[in-house]
Amino acid sequence: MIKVALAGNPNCGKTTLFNDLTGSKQHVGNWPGVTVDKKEGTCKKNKEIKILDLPGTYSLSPYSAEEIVAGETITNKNGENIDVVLNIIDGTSIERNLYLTLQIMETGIPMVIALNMMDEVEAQGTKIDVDKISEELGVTIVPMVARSGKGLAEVVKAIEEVAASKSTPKNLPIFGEIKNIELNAKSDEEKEEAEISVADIRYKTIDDIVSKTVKKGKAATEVKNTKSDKIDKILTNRFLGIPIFLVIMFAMYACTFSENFLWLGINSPGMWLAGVVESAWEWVVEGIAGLIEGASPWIYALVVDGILAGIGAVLGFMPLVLVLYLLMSFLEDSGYMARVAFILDRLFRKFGLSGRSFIPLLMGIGCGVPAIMATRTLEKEKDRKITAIITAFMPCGAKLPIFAMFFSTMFADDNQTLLNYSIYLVSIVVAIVVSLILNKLVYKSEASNFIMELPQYRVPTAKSVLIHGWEKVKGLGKKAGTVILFSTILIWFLSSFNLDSFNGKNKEANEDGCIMCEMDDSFLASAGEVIAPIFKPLGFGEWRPTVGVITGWIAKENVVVTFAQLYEEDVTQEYLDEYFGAMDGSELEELGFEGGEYDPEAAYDIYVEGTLFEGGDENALPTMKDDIKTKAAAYAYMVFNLLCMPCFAAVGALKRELKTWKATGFAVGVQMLTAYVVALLVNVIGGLL
Amino acid sequence: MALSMAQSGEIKTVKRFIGKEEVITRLREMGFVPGEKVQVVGHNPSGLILMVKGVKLALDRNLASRIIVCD
Ligand SMILES: Nc1nc2c(ncn2[C@@H]2O[C@H](COP(=O)(O)OP(=O)(O)OP(=O)(O)O)[C@@H](O)[C@H]2O)c(=O)[nH]1
Ligand SMILES: [Mg+2]
Repeated sequence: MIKVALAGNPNCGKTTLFNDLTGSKQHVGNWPGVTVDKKEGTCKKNKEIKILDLPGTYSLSPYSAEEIVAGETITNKNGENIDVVLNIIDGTSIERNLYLTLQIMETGIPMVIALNMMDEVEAQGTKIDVDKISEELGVTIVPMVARSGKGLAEVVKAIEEVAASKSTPKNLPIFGEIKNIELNAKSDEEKEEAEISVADIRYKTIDDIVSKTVKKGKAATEVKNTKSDKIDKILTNRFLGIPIFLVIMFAMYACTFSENFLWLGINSPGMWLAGVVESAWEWVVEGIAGLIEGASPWIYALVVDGILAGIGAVLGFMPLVLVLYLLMSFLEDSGYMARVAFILDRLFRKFGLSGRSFIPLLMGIGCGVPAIMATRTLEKEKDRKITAIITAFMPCGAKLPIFAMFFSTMFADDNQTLLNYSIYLVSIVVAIVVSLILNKLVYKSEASNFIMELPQYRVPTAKSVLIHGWEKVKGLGKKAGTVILFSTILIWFLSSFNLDSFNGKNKEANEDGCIMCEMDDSFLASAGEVIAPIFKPLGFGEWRPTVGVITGWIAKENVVVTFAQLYEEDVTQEYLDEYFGAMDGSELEELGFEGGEYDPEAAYDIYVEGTLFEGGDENALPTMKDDIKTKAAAYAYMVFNLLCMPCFAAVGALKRELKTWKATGFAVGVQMLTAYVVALLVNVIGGLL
Repeated sequence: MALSMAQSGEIKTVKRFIGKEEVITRLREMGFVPGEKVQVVGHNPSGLILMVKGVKLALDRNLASRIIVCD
């Protein structure tokens, strides 16, 4: 077996090449610091070759946390036992990339160089004499374009050859010189001197090689005239930068949530797609319900009221999440992320964060787990910790269904688009306030530095955006089929049975001999009742909403799953109008409408009291509005779920970044306290309005 | 003079740094070695955008003020 590590500067295309070679679909994005951990895969062309993708690094002496892994792996200090280093070089910035190459050569490990981004090199008109550099360094160099897969076969061949011959790079004369300088430096003063001269020597050597082998094209030398420079003039403009950023964010949400897209009076792509999926699902449910019509009642209950209701509640919102993901991956591939991090740096410093915190926070709108991991690229420990805590406040894709559910029921008459924005606003404002407080009270403030490479703008390929999207759909599908399905069945079981189900008492009591119990007597109700009083001040101190919060910790989608199972579907005004519209005056009067006159305002109460419970369906469940009575309480409930402890997967990610359980416990404590305080404020102040 | 004082479009030569923590080492490794030419591409309230060794970098203002340059 041959073990190969991918090493190179951040954003030089390592993960793109890794995906090419192994057929995996790891996250690629156009900013430095996308990959934060090592990842192993097997080469498709030669199964004997194991490949290790690594975070990017500028040098073997680490600066930020994720670079440590890269350095330790390349120098074989962490037991990975690398046979060959595949050093990837971004051909458009060959000088800076060769610095790391020299350091890797110094370790004397067999290596191959992949000279990547040759398409951009050619577009610049730059000519690189590959054979000459190869001769100077004593390393095989393969020019390639990772993005299109050009040069892959040659890379694999070069790896096989080097692994077989175990040939090491040339021992350049400067390596001995550098070793001497480093050995002779004793005092701190001398060490600093040594460091300066070592960097100097390396860059002199590089200049020497590059001047002989690289002929820079026009586009590479004339700064300010490339496309990227022109775009940067506008996007990083001192006055326009932040307003443009806000417009882009706004546009992104408009495409996802707006019911009046671009003021055209039509649904946004996201909302439209959600409608399509919902109708398709209804059709599926009817089909399945028809099929098992005759089966025993508890199977029917499990399948239709349990599994289908639960999964359906989540499925309907998937298109929104998908559209949001597609737009985000477009943003990530474009090169804009690094710019935003930069233009927000000054503002973020005022909140006690750094501009780099923007990247995890934005990723958090997709999913908290990779977002929390991305905090590793932040320079200062304080920034890392605070950012990890507040990233969990972001309205991730799994929380969206919760908001959508309340908006379409409790807030059906209000402006939906504004409501959606309000959630983002709440999460951002809370994140800022909590960051400020943590900065003041908990963490020692250390001013962080901002250095970030601004990559070339790149037009995202349709392929990569679609792969992103497809991966998400697959991921969500998998989640729906495992965690959510499991939760669905669990919730159904716990809400349909109690102890008496298994000692025969229910069987005796129920006329039809069914062992299920009334939902209000179920296991779930008893457990929920114990905790529910805590939430009384927040306006939702009943067992059903409480259970929603708790199942939400398994996966946030579970909140809507729980509601779908524990509540009767909400009655809409349209339904009421239609329902009562079919009755004549005397019937209406009998039901309680004054003077036999249909009154839309009174219709809901009359329907619930008169029809649902006393009149007709005796198995009817309460509706959401019976437990969460006011808009203030509904909003408090949303805010609580937005801000409280994230799902267990995200808590796991927090533990990985914060290292200790104590720090993780503190983080979760902060999140819980924040959620409680903000929800309380919402309920109390909202109640006064 | 400090690099942070340079105007957009100007090309300066790196002389030395103020301070010696890790971030300065990192700057050196990223190409800010004495004698190196640095072009200021743009200014922003957050800091400067620079061109070093054919790479575009963003630095915050405080960091840029610790890089001493000459013409
Ligand atoms: N034009 C062009 N773009 C490329 C090529 N290879 C990669 N890219 C783009 O370069 C960007 C960075 O690619 P990644 O594979 O994420 O780079 P990385 O080295 O893994 O980056 P980090 O994980 O941040 O260190 C993405 O936008 C890719 O689409 C190439 O050969 N040509
Ligand atoms: Mg990567």
